Amino acid sequence: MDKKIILKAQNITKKFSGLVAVNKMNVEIYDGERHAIIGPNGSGKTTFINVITGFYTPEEGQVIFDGQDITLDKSYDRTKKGISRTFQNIRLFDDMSIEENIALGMHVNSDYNLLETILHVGRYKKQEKEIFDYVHKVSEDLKIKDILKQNVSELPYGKRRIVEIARGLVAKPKIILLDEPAAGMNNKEVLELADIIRYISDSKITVILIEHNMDFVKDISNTVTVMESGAKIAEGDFDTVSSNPQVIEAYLGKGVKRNAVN
Amino acid sequence: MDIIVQVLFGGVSIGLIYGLPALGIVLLFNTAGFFNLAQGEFLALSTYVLYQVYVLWKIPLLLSVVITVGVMIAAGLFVNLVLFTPLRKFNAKELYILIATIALSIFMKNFMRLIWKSKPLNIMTIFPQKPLKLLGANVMPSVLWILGISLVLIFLLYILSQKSKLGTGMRAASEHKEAASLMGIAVDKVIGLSFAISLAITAVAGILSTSVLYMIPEMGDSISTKAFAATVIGGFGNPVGAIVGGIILGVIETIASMILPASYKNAITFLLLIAFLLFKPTGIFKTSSNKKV
Amino acid sequence: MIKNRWKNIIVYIMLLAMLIVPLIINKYMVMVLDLGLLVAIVVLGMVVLVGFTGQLSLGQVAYYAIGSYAAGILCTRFPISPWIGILFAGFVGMLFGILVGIPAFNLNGPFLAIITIGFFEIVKILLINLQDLTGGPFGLMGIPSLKIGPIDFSQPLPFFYLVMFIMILVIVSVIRVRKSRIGRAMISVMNDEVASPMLGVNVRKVKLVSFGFSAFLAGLAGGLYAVFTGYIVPDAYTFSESALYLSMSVVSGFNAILASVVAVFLNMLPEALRALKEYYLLFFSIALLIFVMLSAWKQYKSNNEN
Repeated sequence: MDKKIILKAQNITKKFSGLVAVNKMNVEIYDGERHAIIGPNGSGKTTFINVITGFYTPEEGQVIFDGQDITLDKSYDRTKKGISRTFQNIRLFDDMSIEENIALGMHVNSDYNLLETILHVGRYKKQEKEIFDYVHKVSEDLKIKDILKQNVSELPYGKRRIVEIARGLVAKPKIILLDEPAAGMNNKEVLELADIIRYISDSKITVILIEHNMDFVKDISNTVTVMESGAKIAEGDFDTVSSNPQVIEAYLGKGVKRNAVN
Repeated sequence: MDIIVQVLFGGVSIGLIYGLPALGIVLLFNTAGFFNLAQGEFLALSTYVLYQVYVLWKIPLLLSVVITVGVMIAAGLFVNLVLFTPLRKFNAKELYILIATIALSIFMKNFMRLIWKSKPLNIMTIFPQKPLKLLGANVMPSVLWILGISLVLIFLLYILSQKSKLGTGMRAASEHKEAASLMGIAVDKVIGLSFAISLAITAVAGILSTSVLYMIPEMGDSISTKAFAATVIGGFGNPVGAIVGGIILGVIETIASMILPASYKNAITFLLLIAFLLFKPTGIFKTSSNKKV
Repeated sequence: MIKNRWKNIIVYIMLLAMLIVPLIINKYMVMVLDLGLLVAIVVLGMVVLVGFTGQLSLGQVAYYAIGSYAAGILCTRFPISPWIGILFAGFVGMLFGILVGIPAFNLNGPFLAIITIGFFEIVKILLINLQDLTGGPFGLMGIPSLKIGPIDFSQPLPFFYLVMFIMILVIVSVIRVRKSRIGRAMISVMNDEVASPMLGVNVRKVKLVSFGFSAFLAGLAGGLYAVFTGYIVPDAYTFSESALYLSMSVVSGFNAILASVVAVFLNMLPEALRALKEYYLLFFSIALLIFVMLSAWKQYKSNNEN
């Protein structure tokens, strides 16, 4: 792995009406790695992700992506530059087929306009073909091609998470943020998810994941960052981090089951 | 000086007629979680019910008032039972509930047109007609009645919301429905009661309005929009804001109608509303809200 | 698939029937049909604005009025062809639609609906009071009609075929919009304004496009109305029209073809059943309530089965 930094969060602080959710957070994400961010509930992981994707603007600090300061960029510009994500509470849309839901992710990779749409001229045909060809390719790779014509409500929970990942991937991102991708999945589905994440890595896309399933984190991540009370308390590979006394205390102190970190 | 007193009295009293249904809208929104776009029609209906009972059936005024409020409460409970309770049970989308209130307003408008016809009616004589001298200005007794009754009503509602178990339930339900129901508060009952209260307030406003407004079946449209404007100006979701917003609207409208041609009066309301929504969408009294990913 | 094919065949038969119908009904009914087609064009705009993007408008008749007056004023004041007039009507409508779309950046649901009502009220007040421009309460007279050679489109029958043609173009456009990146972005905005930007959708732009598109159609229909009747008055534009447009789009389930059929049909109904005219809106509102209830129930049932 080359040691190029793709994403750098410097000194990020985010407060909500006086309450500090993320406190002077520093993280460097290397190109191509699978970087897990873990921590007890309420430790600020999702808030941190939301700062990176531009849902929140931090009070302090910078987000540097691919050498560019994107702290003040709009979310959709960040997506265009190559940051895509999934959501903790799945956000797929019932008014579209699964295929269209995934195709929505290609929005940033197409630019034909309203007139071209109505008249079916110009870039319309070429780009629509590109969109659906790519949607089909990614769906095939993620083994969800057979469900493309279905509705979201017909899918089991685990499949919905995979569809969300597909939607993130068709944006052709440099980095994808997965917010608790294994939540609600059974063991078999988690194994499939691990394969998918390796596939993403093989496609030269950096993965950041927030996760509570420690077996899964151990299995999949190169680097783990541990957060508590909005700050980083440890970083390194899984074994180093899980033997860190501060980390153990953070988890046990919060009453999370002991074997969670072992 | 006397002109200022006159404008203030006139403006505040018409403002209360917007403010009371606005309060009704807010109460309903806070507990049931939807906007009743038919609130103005309920006000219109109460004026016609009063007309029917008091003018046509010649029942004494006080009894007529009681009957009118009673009928409106019954109407509210009925609509809640057959329309909004099932919609809530079905988890209907916000759009569908709004459409239902719009359909309800179309229905009520045409119902009133059918029964009482489109000719403007009035019962401005429910209060004495002889102006009183007050601080050097001529003030109509109706204005004082509107002020007095509204203030008493608002005071009673305040007591009710602060001191009673029902008030606590309503506040709990408005803050968190699921939690409220877990805490053993019967959300359905609370919503039904807030329907009743919302329409009782609106009926009182309707009864008071008969002393200053002509009644036509379409009067609800302008009352609804003005009541909504009042809720926005006051800060949406805030009961005090609804009343204050109504009063501000009434006073500004009264001043505007003295300076501008009468036909521009409504334009002022909407310009004010749009200005608030654009530049101060939280209104005067901010109510907190948050969204999460 | 087979089911879809049958659906298509039924649609084509219905369209064909609609082309023949005006030949066998009287002139007055053809005119009613014409006005129904104009309503359909406005409702198709609502399908996009409300059904795709989820932006509630209760003031759509304002753009219709603006379109009427834009065409009316342009063609009575200047020696300009009414063909240009109707296009101008569409673009002026669009301009105002975009203007109303700006508050929609931060507002939604009922607040937006109130803004659109307010906008309509202001438009109406201006139409009545800007007498020099609009003719005030007496309106504008002598608006020239559309003509091609000997065909005069102020006659109900030729106008029918013209508007039918335009409506079919609009239906095709709406369907194409839905099946495009723009349509998908609209659905995304309707479903989830919070997540959309993180999926790469510029929510503000999508809202402006939707408002502009739907207001263009309303303006165009208004312009067509002006050059068809030749005479417009402010009283012709009422709030209940807007409520009807919204209701029609909802009842159609935001399906473009169905929306136009519903619009035409519901516009004909009170004329066809003269005796019921007085009760028409009463029945309509009850039907609408039942519809809302049934669709909510259907949704509930299908959610609970899964």
